[in-house]
Order: sequence, then structure tokens, then C-alpha cells
Amino acid sequence: MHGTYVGEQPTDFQAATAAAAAAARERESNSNEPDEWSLSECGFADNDVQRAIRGGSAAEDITQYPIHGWVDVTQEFHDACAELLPGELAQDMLFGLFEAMSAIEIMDPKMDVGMGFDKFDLPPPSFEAAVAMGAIKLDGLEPAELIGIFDALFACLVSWLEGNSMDQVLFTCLYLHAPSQIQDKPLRCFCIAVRNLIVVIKNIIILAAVNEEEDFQLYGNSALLGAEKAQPSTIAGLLKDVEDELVRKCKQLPEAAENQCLMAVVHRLRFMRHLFQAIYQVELMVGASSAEEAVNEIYKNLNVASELLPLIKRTIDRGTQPVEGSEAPNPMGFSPRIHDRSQPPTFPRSIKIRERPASYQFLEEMVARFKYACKVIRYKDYYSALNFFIEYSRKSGHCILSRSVLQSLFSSSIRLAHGKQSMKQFLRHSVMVFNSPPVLNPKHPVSSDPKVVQHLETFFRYCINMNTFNQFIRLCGFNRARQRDKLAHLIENFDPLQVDAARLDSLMNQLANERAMEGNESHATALKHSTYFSTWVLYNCFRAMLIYLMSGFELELYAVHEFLYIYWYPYEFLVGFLVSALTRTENLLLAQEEYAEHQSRIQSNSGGGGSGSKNRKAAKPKKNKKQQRPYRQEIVYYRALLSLCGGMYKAMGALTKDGRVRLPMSKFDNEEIRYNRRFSPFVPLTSPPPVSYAEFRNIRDHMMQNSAEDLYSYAAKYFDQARNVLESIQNPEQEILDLLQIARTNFVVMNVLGRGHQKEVKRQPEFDFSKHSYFPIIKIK
Amino acid sequence: MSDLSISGTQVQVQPLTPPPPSPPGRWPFRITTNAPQMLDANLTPGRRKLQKWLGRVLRIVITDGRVLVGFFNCTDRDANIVLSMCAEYLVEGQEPRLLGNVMVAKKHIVSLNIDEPRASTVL
Repeated sequence: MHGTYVGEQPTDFQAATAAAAAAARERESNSNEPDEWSLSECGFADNDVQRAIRGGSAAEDITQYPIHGWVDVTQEFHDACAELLPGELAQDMLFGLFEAMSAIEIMDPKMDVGMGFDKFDLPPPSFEAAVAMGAIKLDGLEPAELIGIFDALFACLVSWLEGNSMDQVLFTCLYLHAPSQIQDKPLRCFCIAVRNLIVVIKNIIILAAVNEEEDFQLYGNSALLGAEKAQPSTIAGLLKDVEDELVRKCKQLPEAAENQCLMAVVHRLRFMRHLFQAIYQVELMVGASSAEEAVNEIYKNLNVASELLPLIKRTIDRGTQPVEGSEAPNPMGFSPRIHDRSQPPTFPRSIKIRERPASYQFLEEMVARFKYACKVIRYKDYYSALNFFIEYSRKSGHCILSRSVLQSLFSSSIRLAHGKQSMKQFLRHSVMVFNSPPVLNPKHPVSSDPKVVQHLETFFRYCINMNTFNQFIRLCGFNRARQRDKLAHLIENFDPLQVDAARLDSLMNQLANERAMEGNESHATALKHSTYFSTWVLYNCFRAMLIYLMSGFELELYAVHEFLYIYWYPYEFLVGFLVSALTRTENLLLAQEEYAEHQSRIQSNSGGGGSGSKNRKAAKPKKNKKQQRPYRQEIVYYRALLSLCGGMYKAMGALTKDGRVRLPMSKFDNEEIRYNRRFSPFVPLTSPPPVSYAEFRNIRDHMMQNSAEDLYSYAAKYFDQARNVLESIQNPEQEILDLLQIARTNFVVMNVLGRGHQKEVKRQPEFDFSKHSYFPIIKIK
Repeated sequence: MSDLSISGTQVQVQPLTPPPPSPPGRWPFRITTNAPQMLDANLTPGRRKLQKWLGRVLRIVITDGRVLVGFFNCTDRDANIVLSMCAEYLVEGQEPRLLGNVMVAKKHIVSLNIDEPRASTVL
């Protein structure tokens, strides 16, 4: 309703409704007719139902009215309204905020689909009508016309993928309504391909199930959704035939200009063929026997498609162009409002179909994203796959099809990694890769110890039942805003897993004692000091927590005065935990290697050095080097993050102390509530234990005892530290360079402020998150 | 959020702006509803009329010629009207399109009709 109702007074519907309810309740005791009120007061029945009960008939039909006859009350009504005060409402007793918010504003160009129709208007032409009127050609289309239609269809496809209803974009193209009736072969094949492509894309997105209503409209005109006769598998052949035919025709033509036009048509058909093939093969991946082969095939198609795009972009102007001011994306073949009146009333009316160059730009980027997604089959364990998904989501999170493609590629890839692999095997393998506990090493004799087998079995079955790990990866496929929501629930689920992992570790230690008593040294050593599983679970939990907390910056959820505790938490706890989890993992790996070396030395000493042990000795050092510090890079990265969080925390403290942070008016403010709300998903966890607001306040109060100048210099120190750490990274990626720039700039800013720059002007600095979504560059204006 | 905050130099509570002159009546938010308990002899005639019409079927002809028929749900001083279970007719008598809740601003209203027995036919 966009505030049309809001008068000068702070009238809001809920308050008004509440006031009415209170008034009624107050009088209820005096009232002789409480029955009717109590019915509506109960409030749970839906509005229509209530009205039906009130009206005494089942589901009233508005079209039956008038029952009595219309009485004109225009003037009377306006006069009566004029008696109301500004902001006063006359409202039905069932009218509430929900009704107010869900109302469509009539004559609003964005909401009112019916707007602009006139009883004198002809209905928008259907396919048959357009053919009868001669408005669309079915045969002998000029190359320019073909190019125009193809480009417009690609633009519609892109607009559909961007979240519009397919009825309002793709199916405004009349040619798509009955491709089989088109005589012109290139156009017919292209339209058949589009119809099939729609179905295939829809299937992929449904199967991946990472879409939300704001991403994508699944439903459309069901009559048009079924692909016509042609099967998706025949599409490539159909298109190929037409291409060949056109190329032959092209060769017979003497004129170069016409030639080029025809080739432009061929390029579009070819692009369609390869794009279709790639996407169709993604759909087929689930049943493919070898993921590698299938992905190679997809990759090949994508490569050709991406090579064709520059050629296509260069020839956009050869096609017919949309008429200025018209809603149709192409002068011929489109009937923009054909489905308007069959859409649900709440659908947006005004659809902006993408411009052609922008659409091809989108397709080009999408093809590149698909190619990148193909790399996922390299990642066969949880840790690296999760890293890939997080990265992918950051880069390609805005495109629903790219996200869905990644999901289907990954799920078919891990399932097929080593034959048909179950989730359990995948997780076992993942822990193995992460910190290689000897109990999971099939070569180690302890792995066949029946008790060990049993405990492991129980643990992994529990992991799978909880579905937490699986969910973490899937969740990265959702759009960025939804991810945060879902992460909050995911974090909760980590708690029972932590408990179970800790139990497993202690069982292993117990078992170590038992085996030691039995004199089985090698088993005992392998089982002793086990923290493998709890470290693994904790590490993943910490990561989820960090992403959750920091995503609030990206989504712009935090007010500036909240930054202080948001940065404080990772600085004081989270990032430190991550570093220590990774360090512990590295140490475990190192200890194991030392032990293995020690063992082999004993063996070679006693076994008299055959050729086998020589080989082993030669191979060992090489493996060692690689294995030594597998998490080094990540640890360094988190160290830098730690310093940056520390810097931001102290900086926010300094700025607050200096009076440069706008604070909420205290009568509207309750920091404790905000603090608890921000960290609420962490509360159910046993580890790390939740930090109460009181504890935080103590720590902050302690920090705030320093002078602003001191705090500025502490902050500067942290930023300097971060810079040092970041500079030590070799071959830095773009992200590292960006962080480096942030650390450097903030270092300077802190120093400047610490020296009393602009001491008198207590203006809040600007926090510019454009370089990195977690950390801003602090700018003084 | 920013409009709730004041700059760091002046982190004292601002003096309250004097409350707007309270409207006649007992409610800070003045509303008229058709809840039976609100039947109040002291209502102005216009309010009483609106109260009577609430929940009835209203027909609105709007500036582009469409006719909207729905249950009269809410209005205000500016005669913005909310209808529920609304049917939209391009041509009256032809198949309507069902819209659900709609809001019509006064500037688009051409005429208003209420479905009620004419004075002569009142039982």
C-alpha cells in the first residue's frame, strides 16, 4: 500500500485493530450480543472463512452480487469520508495489517495488471489470431527477421532466469506457442529447441532445489510447458541439420553482405545447439556412468558456445530491433500482454525484458560460470568441496541456473567418484583427507579392530542422519540472503554432532588404554590422544559461524554502532578457534608422520633392508614436504583475518569513545536485546560456549578505559600486523590484495585520527565495504 | 535506523516534541469499525453511514472504465478504499478476473455504488 494510508498521525493498522479489540473487550461485559464478536475475536480463522460464517453461506461468490441492486452513494460516501480525521480509519472488523499489505494498488503501473485495458481494446492477439491477421510470418523469413527473433528469445530466456514468470517473458513469443506450425525451418527448429530448453532448465532447477521464490518462477502456462513432439535428445541433430543447410545455401550466395547475415543466423543456431547440449547433459549427469567423461563433454560444448558469443554480439545490429516505446522485445512474433490476465493478481505487472547486448553479456558470464562449475568434480572430499562451494557462491551466487548446475554436477560427481559411493564413504574419506586418523586408514591394522569399526559406524551413521554436513554444502547453493537464514539453523545442528564426535574420541582413548593393557602397542598408539573427530566437527562448525556472522556485513544488516561487538566476537573467539583447530590438525598429521617414519626405521633396521624398504625411504621425504603444512595458507589467512577483526574492534572502540559513532537515542535503545539477537544462533552450542552480554560489556568497559588516542594506536597496530601477515603471502589472490589495501588504508586513517585530525568535527566516518564484504575501508570525509 | 539516531556530539536525550493535539474522542488512534461493540450513538452521521456500509458489497467505477466489485473493507479521510475478494470487470456482465485485496485511491474513483435495498423496497 506504500503508505497511502498513513496520515500525519502515527496511525498504524495493528495499533488501530488492537485499540478496537481493547475497546470491545472493555465493553463486552455490558454487551448483550457477545457471540458475534467472540467469533471474530478468536482470530485464527482466515478472513474469507470468517466472512462466510458471518454471511451464513458457504464461500460467498462476489460475482453473484448485487443481490438487491446498486444504489449510487458517490457523493454521500465522499461526504462521510470528509468527516473522518486525518489518519482515522473506518475499517471492517476483520481488516488488519495483512489485508492492508496484500492489497494491490489499482492504477499503479507496477502492480495493476488490468491497467490500460479498455473495453474497446482488442484482446492481445493469440498465435492463431496473429496468423490470421498476417501479423506474423510462418515461412520465408529474412535473415534479419530471424536474427531479431532469436536475439529477442535469448533476451527472454535471460529475463526468465532472472526471476520473471515465463508466461510474461518467454511465452509472449507467439512462435513458441505452436512451433510445429512454423514452416520456416530455422525458426521452427530454434523454437522447438527453446521449448525443450525451458523444460530441461526447469528440471535442473527443481532437482537442485536451491531456488526460492525471489530467485525463480517455476510455474507457467502448463499447456505450453510440455515440450512438443521432439525429444530433447533429438534437438542437437535438428539444429545441426538446419545449420548445414544454411551453410550450403550460404556458399551458393555470391553477395558477401547477405552471406554474413546468413552466417549470423547460423552462429545463433550453433550457439543454441551447444548451450542446449551442455545444459541437457547436466540434466543427464545423474545417470551417467562416468562423471569425468560427462563433464568433459559438457566442457567441450561450453567452450564452443563461449567462442561463438563474440561473433553473435558483433551481429546484434543485423537483426530487426525492438520498436522504441513498445513492450515487445521484437517487432514481429511477440504479444507482450497475452498472458497478463491469466497471471495471479499479485504478480508484478511491469516486466522489463533485458536489452539484447546485456542478455548476451549475461549468457557469456553464465557459460563461464558453468565452465567454472565443471571444476567441482576435482574435489572429492568435504573440505575442498566446501571451499569450492563457498567460493562459487561468492562469485556466482546471483544466477539460479549456475547454482543449480553446480549442485547437480557435484551430487553426481561425488556419488560416482569411486563407483557408487554413499554419503558415508564420502564423509569417511573426507575425515581421512582432513586429518587422516589411523583408525580410518585401511592399511593400518587398527582399522579392522571390531570395536573401532563399530564405533565409527555409529558415528558416521549419526552424521548422515543429522544430514548437517550435507546441508552445509547444499546451503551454499542458495542465494546469499537465504544462506544466512539457513546457516542459523545449521549451526544449531552442529551441537549434537560435536557431542557425538567428542564421545567417539574419548571412546578411542579408552580403547587405547585397553589395548595397551593387552600389550598391543601399535593399536594403542594409533588410538591414543584422539581428537580427530571433534576437531573435524568443530572446525566445520566454526566456519559456519564465521560465515553467518560476517554475511551480515554483506547483506547490510548491521548498523555502524553494532560493528563493535560483531568484530569483537571473531577477534576474541571465533578466528582464534579456527586457527587452533587447524594447527591442531597439522600437529596431528605431523605426529603421525613422525611415528610412521619411526616405525619404518625400526622395520628397516630389523628387516635387513630389502629393495622394498629402499623404495619407501626414497618416497618418504617427498611426501613429507607436501604433507608438512597442508593448512599453512589457510592458517595465515585466518591470522590476517584475526588482526583485521582486532583492528576493526579497536577502531570502533576508538571512534565510539571519540564520539564519532552515531548512537541510537537511549530511550529507543536496548543494546542487550540487539546483542542477543545478533548471536542467537550460537546460543544452543555447547562449544564454543555462548558469551553473555554482561561478559561482553565487562570486556568492552575494560577497553574503553583507555583514551581514544591510545585506542586509535592499538587499532593501527592491529592493521599493521594484518598488513605484515598479508604481505608474507606468496602469489596472493585478488582477495588478499584487497585485504592488504584495506589494512594499509585503515592503518593510515587510524594514525591520522590518533594524532587528533578533525578533532572538532565529530562526524561519523564512512565505512566502505566495496573492496571486501567483511571489512570496510574507513574513510574520513 | 539512521533516523532514530543522532550524531555523536549530542548524545543526550532530545527533549520530547510536544504530542500532537489529541483528536476528539477517547482513542489515540481513532477508528470506526463495524464491530458490534462499537455501535455508538455518539458517532457522527457520516461515520455511522460508513460503519453501516463496512463489510457490504461495493461497486467502484474507476477512471479507465473498469468496474471493481468487492467487500468494502476500509477507508480514510481521503476516500482511499480497500476492497477484499474483489472482482474486476472490463465489461460488466462479462467474465471477471478475481483480484483479492485491492486498494483504490480517491483520484481514480468515478462513482461508488453500494448493494442495498432501495429505500422504497425496505421491508
